[in-house]
Amino acid sequence: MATREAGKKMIMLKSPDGMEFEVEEAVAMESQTIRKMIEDDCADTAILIPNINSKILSRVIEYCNKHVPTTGATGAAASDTVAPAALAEDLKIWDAEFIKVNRATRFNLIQAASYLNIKGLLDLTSQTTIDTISDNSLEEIRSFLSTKNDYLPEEEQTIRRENQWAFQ
Amino acid sequence: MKNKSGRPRKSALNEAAAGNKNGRRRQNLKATRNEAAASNASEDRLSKLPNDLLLNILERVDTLDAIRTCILSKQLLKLPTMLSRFYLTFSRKQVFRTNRAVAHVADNILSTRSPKVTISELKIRFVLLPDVSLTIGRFVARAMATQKVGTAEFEIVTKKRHDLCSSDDLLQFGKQLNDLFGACPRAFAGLTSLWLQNMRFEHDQLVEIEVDQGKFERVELICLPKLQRLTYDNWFSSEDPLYFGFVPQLSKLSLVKTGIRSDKTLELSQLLANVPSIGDLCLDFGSEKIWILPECPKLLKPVLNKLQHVNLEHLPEGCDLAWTMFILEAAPSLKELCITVWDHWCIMITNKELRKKYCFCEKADVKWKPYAPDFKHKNLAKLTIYGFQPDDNFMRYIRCIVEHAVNITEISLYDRKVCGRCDDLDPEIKDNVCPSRYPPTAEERKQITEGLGLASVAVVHFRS
Repeated sequence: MATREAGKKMIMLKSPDGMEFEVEEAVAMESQTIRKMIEDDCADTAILIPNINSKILSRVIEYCNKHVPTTGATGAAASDTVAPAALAEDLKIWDAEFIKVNRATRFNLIQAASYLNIKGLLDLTSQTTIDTISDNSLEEIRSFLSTKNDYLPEEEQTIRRENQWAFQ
Repeated sequence: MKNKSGRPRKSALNEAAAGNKNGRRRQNLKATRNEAAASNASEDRLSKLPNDLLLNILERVDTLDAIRTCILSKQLLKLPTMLSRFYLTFSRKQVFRTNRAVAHVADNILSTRSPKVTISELKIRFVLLPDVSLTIGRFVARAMATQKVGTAEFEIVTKKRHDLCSSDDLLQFGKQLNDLFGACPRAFAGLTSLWLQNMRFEHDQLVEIEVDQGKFERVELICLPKLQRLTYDNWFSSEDPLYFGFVPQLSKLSLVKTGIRSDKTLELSQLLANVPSIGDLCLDFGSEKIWILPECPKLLKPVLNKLQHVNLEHLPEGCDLAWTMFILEAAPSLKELCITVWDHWCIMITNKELRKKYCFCEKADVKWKPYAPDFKHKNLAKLTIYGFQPDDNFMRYIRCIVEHAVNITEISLYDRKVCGRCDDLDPEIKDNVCPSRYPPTAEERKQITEGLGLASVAVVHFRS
């Protein structure tokens, strides 16, 4: 339900496992998907977020809370007092901590960021995933990305022969 | 956590274990990291992501790495043909495998993909070696002929570092590039950026050069007997950006640069020391710092002797203009002087923090004193001012010009120039633009003309 608290408009987000999260409208609107729903007036009651469980949704909200333009939590516009460079640096450090999660959670976050259309979060999660690739052998990459080898042994031989350059 | 079928996660693990038992899943022979060891038990997650998300991940790295990754499983194997961004880097060390890798991309990926999928970005960095670069050039020419390509960029490096290059090496690299260009002109025709290093060109027919955003330490034009026109738009060098050797016909020079604090102030007497016949000079300051030194006529006369037209673009508003008189003092043949005074907000950085961060200068007058206060200029006939405002600064400047240029016949005064993009400025910035005070009525214009106290008022024209 859209309610008002201390002058700020609140939005209710529901996960499919029944949890409800009350968040500031500005925070929820970090998601372009939700922004569009609000702008199209589809958000007067709680918004059900399909496919994203409460554990992941709470992480996503945590991310949006941190990344919403800084006129929120502290009251006054933080950008007046803190230099933008320092602010960006602070966010980067925060992001690095935030993304220290196991792979399953990270892949869930990628899907959530994509569905909710939160570009910053999608960039962060995708980049972290791909950062494991350079300079590693295929077997290492395979295990980092937790990709199942679905080749039959003879198929694998063929593929190795055809792509020999990749194995050097 | 739920998976799609709603089954508990455990069964997925059992499946994976069963797969292992049947020998379908390769054992990790050497799990060198803890994380790697832990993943034996985790379910297959990456390939469960939908294709667009997988592509979003894969398009962040070098395309060869992305392809290597896709070889990991059958499901991923079809992805490379859907890539829309290609970043191919061939380092000096990997020259050996370059040909085969490029051939792979060409044959297995580009030729089998749907021509409807646009290549939005194609960036290739390679070493200039005759065989290798020809393979790449042909590959790109073919890609451009068969696919829709958005931005395309070559970064061509040489096999030797700059400090190891002899002058013969530089010539040879220049020739190799020319050969490559000749062999696959279509690849070059479609490029949106080209990065070169360590090359020297001999070109006896070249008439015009334009360097745009040149990230060169210095462009040396050593021998260009036919060169007539040169434009250099924004350099990133803290030294003189240009060196002229033998350029006997160079007559038109345009230099465009948004100067910051650390940029070197150029001295025309040195820059043009070997240029005998500059007739037309355009200097554009991007509404920022003046990066040219008003030198004394004794030094400048030899290089500005034939100068007839001068255009000074984007001079910052509100600053004293007197310094531009150094050109009159040093260029006796000057016929036309055109200045544009304009804080052009849509090309400027206006945010205070950013201005500080990128070292833009505060407004400041250029220091200048006349060397010969009584000199007379016989040839200057036309003065044109864009961005005229009826204030002391402009009035003093016009009087000063008229005092020296005894044969002036036409003074044209225009309002600020109009730029289409300025309309789209952030309203917050727009509000800070101070409105022009250009005189709108004939009455005001008459008053201003009279205020100049000229012998003949007929020379002054308000054109806006």
